Amino acid sequence: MQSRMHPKYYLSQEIFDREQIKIFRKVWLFAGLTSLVAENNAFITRKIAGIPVVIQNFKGEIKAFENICLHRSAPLQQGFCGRRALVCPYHAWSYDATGAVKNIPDCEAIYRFSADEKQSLKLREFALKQVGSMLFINLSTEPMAFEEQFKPEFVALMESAAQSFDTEVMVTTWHGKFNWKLVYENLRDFNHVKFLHAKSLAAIADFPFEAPIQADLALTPLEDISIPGLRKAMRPFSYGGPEGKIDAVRPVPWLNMVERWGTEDAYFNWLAYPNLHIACGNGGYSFTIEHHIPIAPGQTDIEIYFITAKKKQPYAASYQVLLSNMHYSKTILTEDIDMLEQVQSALHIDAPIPTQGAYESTNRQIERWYTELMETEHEI
Amino acid sequence: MQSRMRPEYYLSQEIFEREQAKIFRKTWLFAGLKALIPDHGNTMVRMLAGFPVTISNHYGVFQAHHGQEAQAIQAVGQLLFVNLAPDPMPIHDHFSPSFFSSLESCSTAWGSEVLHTVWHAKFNWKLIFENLRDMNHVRFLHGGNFANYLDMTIPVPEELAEEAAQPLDDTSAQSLRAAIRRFNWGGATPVLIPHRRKVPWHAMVQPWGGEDRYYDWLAYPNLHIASGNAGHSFTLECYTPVSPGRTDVELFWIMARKTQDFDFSSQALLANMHGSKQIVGEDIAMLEAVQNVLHSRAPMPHQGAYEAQNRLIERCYATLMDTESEF
Amino acid sequence: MKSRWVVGTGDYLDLAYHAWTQASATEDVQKITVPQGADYEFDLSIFDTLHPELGDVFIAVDDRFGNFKRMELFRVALERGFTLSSFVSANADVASEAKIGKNVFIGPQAIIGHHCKIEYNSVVHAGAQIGANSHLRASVWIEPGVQIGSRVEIGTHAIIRTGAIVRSGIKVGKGAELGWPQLYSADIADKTVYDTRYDEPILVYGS
Ligand code: FES
Ligand SMILES: [Fe+2]
Ligand SMILES: [Fe+2]
Repeated sequence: MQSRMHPKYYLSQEIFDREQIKIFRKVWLFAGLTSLVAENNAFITRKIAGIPVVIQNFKGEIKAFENICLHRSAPLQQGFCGRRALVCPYHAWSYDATGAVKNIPDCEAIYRFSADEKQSLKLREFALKQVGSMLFINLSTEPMAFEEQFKPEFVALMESAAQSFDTEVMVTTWHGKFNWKLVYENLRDFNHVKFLHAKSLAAIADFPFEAPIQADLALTPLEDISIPGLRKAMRPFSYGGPEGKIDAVRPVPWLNMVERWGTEDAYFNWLAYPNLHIACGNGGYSFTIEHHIPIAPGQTDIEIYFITAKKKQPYAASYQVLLSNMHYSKTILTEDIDMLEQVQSALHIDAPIPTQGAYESTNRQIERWYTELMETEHEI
Repeated sequence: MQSRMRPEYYLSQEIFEREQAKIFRKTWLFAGLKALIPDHGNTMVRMLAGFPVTISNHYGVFQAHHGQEAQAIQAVGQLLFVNLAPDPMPIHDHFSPSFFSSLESCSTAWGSEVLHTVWHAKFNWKLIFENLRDMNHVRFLHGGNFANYLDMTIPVPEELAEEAAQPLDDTSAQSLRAAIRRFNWGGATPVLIPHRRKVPWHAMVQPWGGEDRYYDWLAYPNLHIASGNAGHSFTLECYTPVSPGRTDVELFWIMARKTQDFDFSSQALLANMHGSKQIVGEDIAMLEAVQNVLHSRAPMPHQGAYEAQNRLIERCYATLMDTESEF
Repeated sequence: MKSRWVVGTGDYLDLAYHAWTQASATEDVQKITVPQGADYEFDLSIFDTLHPELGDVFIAVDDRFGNFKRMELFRVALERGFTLSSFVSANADVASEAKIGKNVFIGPQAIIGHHCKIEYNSVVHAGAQIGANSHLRASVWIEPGVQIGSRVEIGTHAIIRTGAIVRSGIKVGKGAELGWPQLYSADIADKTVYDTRYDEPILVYGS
């Protein structure tokens, strides 16, 4: 069957801007880990869908604000993460846990703001949701309920896993030269594993998949294009669980140092539409969070977090355990990234439209939903 | 008070081109120093409002050409200004007589050795002018060094604050020129330098101004001159907009004229430049951070009374950008 | 004749063995490989045959697992009473008052400036230059040709790879790996890894 994905969806700046506004500024997105903002005044900053955001701990309360000072637009916090009160470095305006201006040095003497004016100064706040030790953010002024976007069983399993995350986390970012959508088409496709990862992943894990006999191939247009209808349609795009079979986990000493999550020897995967993937290839001992950040039509940052399950007690070499695991996942991920960069570089506006098989029915459903959003004025 | 500066003024290519046409091709732009082309036949090429303009010394007369076309040029002491308009406004429409003579007086006192470099900054050119007219940031951003030896009180120009809150009613060319004249000022600031570090070469030049003060000149839209050592040496900063998010910051360091010959003056200037690099570096880093978080729906700035001078400029700027009025 | 048992694994074991063989005519230099199992654990039984009265041990394991593997064998040898004398190549230029700890290796043509301190179990390979008053803490790994300025502090278990230049006065955090061939001119946080296969440094937060 012919796909709905015209090459322009991967190439056009206009489409990219539309995605940012119609998808990324509307849905719940991964925003970071609570362990990075565990203490009073700890913060993380990010740019999400073009909007700079600071996530800050105010005496235990975690809040998300637009990271732009109301005085003259300086970022209130800088750097990926740190620990510092929410005070602007330019002229030292400070803000409280509600985002209101707390203090302006010499306000009377040099600014002369009326009480009303001062009170009206408030940072734009964004909705946050905590799932285990993961944080999700929604940039919309009227955010949809978290449960509208994700199925309860999906959230429950992800939360259970995320509760077991250790507080030591290894982070890096790769700059991928491909469109963000290619990653997810690839992640929903187990068929590529035995070819692309023949020597690596396929050698240790087995991902059975089948083409559902009565696959809904999304041949007809979406019926319910109301806002709730389109939200409902996107819910099945996020799913997770024990998807692959693995050989018995090789007993390396660090496994005994952590409290394993669960007991099932399986390859766990979670896909949270639109841009989060969590993988656990060793049945609950460690987790890789891949967060894909669209930068431009042909550019996607891949932010990688590597975490083990909670340590029973701290030990000096734990960061080396994270590092060797990171190096290992890198070898597999590089195989994917190289392939997707090749796909992107061969794309042009007259390139042939893909042809999909029955096993790719989930992708087809997403594409039907995606093109509805891109081509019409309907919203989620 | 809410500012008039919408984020698009710092982000949009269209606005950028409008600025080039309506400001940079209309006003007098700093175009270099006589000392850079001291002899007959010397030339230099300057990028002005997006055009390469050749400045040449013809038997001591300075000329400016874009292609074959001669452009208006005016020397003010050591400083050269060029106007690219087909029908350029008289320079005294742009610089008040007192500002003009202050520039002339100080630059006439300069020596002929010039230290020069360029930084490529990632911010909109307007941010640096807003920053230069803002003494309040010094104690916070430069808390570590600058703030210690200069004692700054922040002036609050009350009448201007009132005025800046009103719309600009008269948008004739004459009124706009009168407005821009007020943006250019300079000379002695109220800032004293009580503990100027005496270095030996200070005794070997003739300082300008005669007081232990901070001297400072702003010539809208592309020049800032400062002397942080009571007129013994001067730094000129020339800002060249490259795109909405890029500005070239060109630095010239120059000494007051020598009263006796010494051969280490370039090293003395270099030490000055390295010394100020940290402070200017702090400003640049902050402005790049501001530019980096700006987006089309970012909140509008909120200014206090002390920022009235900036508010006046913004009023004039917004009139130029949003209406058909011209200088 | 006393024995010099060079104990470890990999290419670095070979290198250290040859260095010791060339350097000491008065010792019986022997190379002893310690096997690593599938779980990467060492088989320590070899130590049962070695006695401090009959000779001394030099531990030669490379930077694997952030130098923790070399540290592991070093501890075992220490517990068993070996002196673990350091190896300083006769062709190295080491300031006379520099302090060199146990089981340190300093390769040929290495230059160690005055008042440097190189703590136990660290390795400074051939041609590396360490500026005056620098301090290398324990179990550091410095690859051939690395240039380190003066007054530099390098945390335990750090790895500095060929091509790296560390500017004077810089502090390199413990467990850091400077693998990008470039000038490092700002302090490096603990456990920051610059690996050439990656686009950005790898950072560790929390504990
Ligand atoms: S810009 Fe934040 S206090 Fe001035
Ligand atoms: Fe893959
Ligand atoms: Fe400043």
